[in-house]
Amino acid sequence: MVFSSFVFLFLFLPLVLTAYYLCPRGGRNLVLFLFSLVFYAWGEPRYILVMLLSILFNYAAGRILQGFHKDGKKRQEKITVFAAVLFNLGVLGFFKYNNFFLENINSWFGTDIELLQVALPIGISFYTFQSLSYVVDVYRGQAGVQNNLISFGTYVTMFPQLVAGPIVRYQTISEQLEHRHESTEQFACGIRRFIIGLGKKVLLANNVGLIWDQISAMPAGDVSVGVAWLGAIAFGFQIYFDFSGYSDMAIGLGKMFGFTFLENFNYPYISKSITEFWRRWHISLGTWFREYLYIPLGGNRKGKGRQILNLLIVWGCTGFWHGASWNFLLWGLYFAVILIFEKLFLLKWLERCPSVISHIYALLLILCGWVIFAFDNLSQIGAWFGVMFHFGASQAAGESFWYLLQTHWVLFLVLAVGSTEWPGRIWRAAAKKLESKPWLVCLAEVLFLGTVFLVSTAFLAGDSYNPFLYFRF
Amino acid sequence: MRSSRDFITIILFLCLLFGIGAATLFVPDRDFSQNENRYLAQKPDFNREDLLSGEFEKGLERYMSDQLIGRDQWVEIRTDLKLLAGNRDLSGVYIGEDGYLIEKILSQDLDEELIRKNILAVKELFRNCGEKIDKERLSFLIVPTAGLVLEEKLPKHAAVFDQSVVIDKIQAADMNCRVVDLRDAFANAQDKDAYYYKTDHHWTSRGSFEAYKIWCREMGFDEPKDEQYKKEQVSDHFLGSLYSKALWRNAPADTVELYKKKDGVPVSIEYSSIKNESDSFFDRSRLDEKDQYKVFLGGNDAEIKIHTDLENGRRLLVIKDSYANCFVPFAAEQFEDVFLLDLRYFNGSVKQYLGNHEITDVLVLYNVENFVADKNLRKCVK
Repeated sequence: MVFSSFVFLFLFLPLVLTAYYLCPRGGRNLVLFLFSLVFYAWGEPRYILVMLLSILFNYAAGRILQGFHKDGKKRQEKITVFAAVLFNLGVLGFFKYNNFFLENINSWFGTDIELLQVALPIGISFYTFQSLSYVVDVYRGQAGVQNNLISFGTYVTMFPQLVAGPIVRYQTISEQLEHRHESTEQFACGIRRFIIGLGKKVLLANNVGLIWDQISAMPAGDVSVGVAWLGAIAFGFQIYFDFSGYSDMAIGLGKMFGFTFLENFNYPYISKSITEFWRRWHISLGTWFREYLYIPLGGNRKGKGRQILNLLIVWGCTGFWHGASWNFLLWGLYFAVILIFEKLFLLKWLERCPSVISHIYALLLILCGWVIFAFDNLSQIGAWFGVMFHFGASQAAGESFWYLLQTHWVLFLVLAVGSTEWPGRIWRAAAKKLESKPWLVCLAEVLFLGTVFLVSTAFLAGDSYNPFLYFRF
Repeated sequence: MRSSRDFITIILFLCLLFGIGAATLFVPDRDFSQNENRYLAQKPDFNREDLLSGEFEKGLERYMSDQLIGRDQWVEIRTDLKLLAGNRDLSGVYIGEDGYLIEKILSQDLDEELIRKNILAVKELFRNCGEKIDKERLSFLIVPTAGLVLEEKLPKHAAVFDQSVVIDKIQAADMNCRVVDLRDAFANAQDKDAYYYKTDHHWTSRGSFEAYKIWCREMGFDEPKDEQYKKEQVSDHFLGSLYSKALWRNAPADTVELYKKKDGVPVSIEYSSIKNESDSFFDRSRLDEKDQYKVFLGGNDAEIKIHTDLENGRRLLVIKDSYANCFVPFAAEQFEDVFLLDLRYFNGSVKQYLGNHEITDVLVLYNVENFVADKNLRKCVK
């Protein structure tokens, strides 16, 4: 199920909220767990078994680890955690990467191994990463073991962040799983956050996504330089507003049930370097890879050479996590190379540059990154860059460029402003100014959020275009 | 105050969720949307099989969307806001100047192979016909749509595929018949705005009458004159197929005009799908429906037979799309019998049909947009 659908908004959400708050505190995790299973099974019920199996396995692994730890059996602990990591990666590898590897083996060695007919279970990359964080946190002693299977199941399946993140580390919410206090303040906060996220997804991402869809469907020869840039910009806006909108909705829903998740996006497009961009973009994924891969590999503690290698490994994996295709790997390595240069010397230069220059530098590299991300065919990526940087005979602008600009400049303006901190800042400043007239602030807020919610409903009613972008993750 | 603000937020939000949800579920469902001109999804059956295959879930999503309380108003609000934000195409329809809605078909939407095949199929049909029928009596009327003729009504910089290229290809293909090209006459006409409906993808009686004049000239019939016809406006509130796509509430309603020849001969019309014969080209009961273009020959039928009191022994076969429905009432006055086949619904053999009905004239009539996308034209050589 996706958040931006009427079944979720007007059926599932009212039902789960009612059941949750009617239930005595002791049963609330069970309510969340059961509803999350329905949420996950919606439309594709068979993969629920994979998830249940994964829950049981990791739950057992936690218990076993605890047992060995008590008995002081260090070696057995190591073996258990190794087996658990292997199992989780194995599940991910089997469901997500098998066809990629088989296809490549076939094409390299001319073999004819039949591809497996397994579709990618939705959200598998998110919940295996969460399960991994649990096992490793328990092994490291950073979190206590979870003895309650229902609580553990609730953690893994929690529907707000199940299909598109953020990736919640076990240590972040282990405490909340048992002792959380839902409050009106938090609930209202969650509603605000959810509506903002819904608006970002339905009103902004979906509409700019239509532009990208139209542009990427154009025959390569018809794409002008301007249109190629517009396309990359549109894609960049789409993925940011879609993804961060989803995270906002997840965080908001979490709050409605008394959970506090960590932030996942922090205005990534205002970055002045790629290093900064990755501190602001999909923060939960970056944190995960830092904690569970980069640091275990030695991070920056084993010399420059080793650090560069570590960065390449981590960013290769980060890219590959986004989908089983070469372009995602390339996308990760592209950022690895930039990050390495920034660590070596570029960052120091950038700090001395006027901020306009460093800002343009970061945005250009991010945009080029999106071109690599957007096409899973390497020659298409090359062709698109060719047009963007005018290597071919393509026109500078052309009719379709002017048409798209003339009909969508308002949207692009909203997207650009919405990517910055300014709307939030202005709202907070205005609210502060009007502190003496709280009813006015309340009225403005209700009007704004109500409008966003109603207009989102209107757009969902009329649009057949409502894509789910994370089916490859 | 802070906490009362929180309370207000929560109560309003819950009211919206529960209110819209309950109203959608419990207000009686609609079967058909006049506005969108389509049947709406109904409550899906709940059973194990559908649940496991995901069919139930999809059905419920369609149901919630189609039966959403106040659906028509939501959709119209969306259209208004999109237009306000500068958007000029909605669901594949351009909102053009003077309220003209024009279909957005881009060159990237075309299937060149299909176009080639369709041209070959028509060419082959006429080659077959040519074995028994004089080439002078075979014609192909390929009608440009508003996307070409009313190009200047498109929003600024808006792209559509070039219909001229398709017509040129047909011209160049040596079709074994007379290809009637309306482009120049239509493009230069003073009143060409009136040739197409604003909210529907069809041409008007006015447009098809102009085409009829040109066709008569090319086929050697006496050219008809305006004063031979009585014009009757039968509707001023027609919102056509393009309206149903764009769902723009400020779309200007069209008028529908019928042209009747003052000294026309009596006719009798047989439909393959309706039992009763009719004595008129116009089915006025259709004016009460959403799609008022159906007033012409009662809409599309697999096979329509028209018999007139004229006794000249000429029998015309028309292979056609819906553009012919308002053209044939004019053309029928030149023939003793007219047979209309709509290949989307007719599955017999056209070859046999030609022999069985002793056809003496053949007309293929398509508009360019249908011609480039039609997947049934290959049936005409069956």
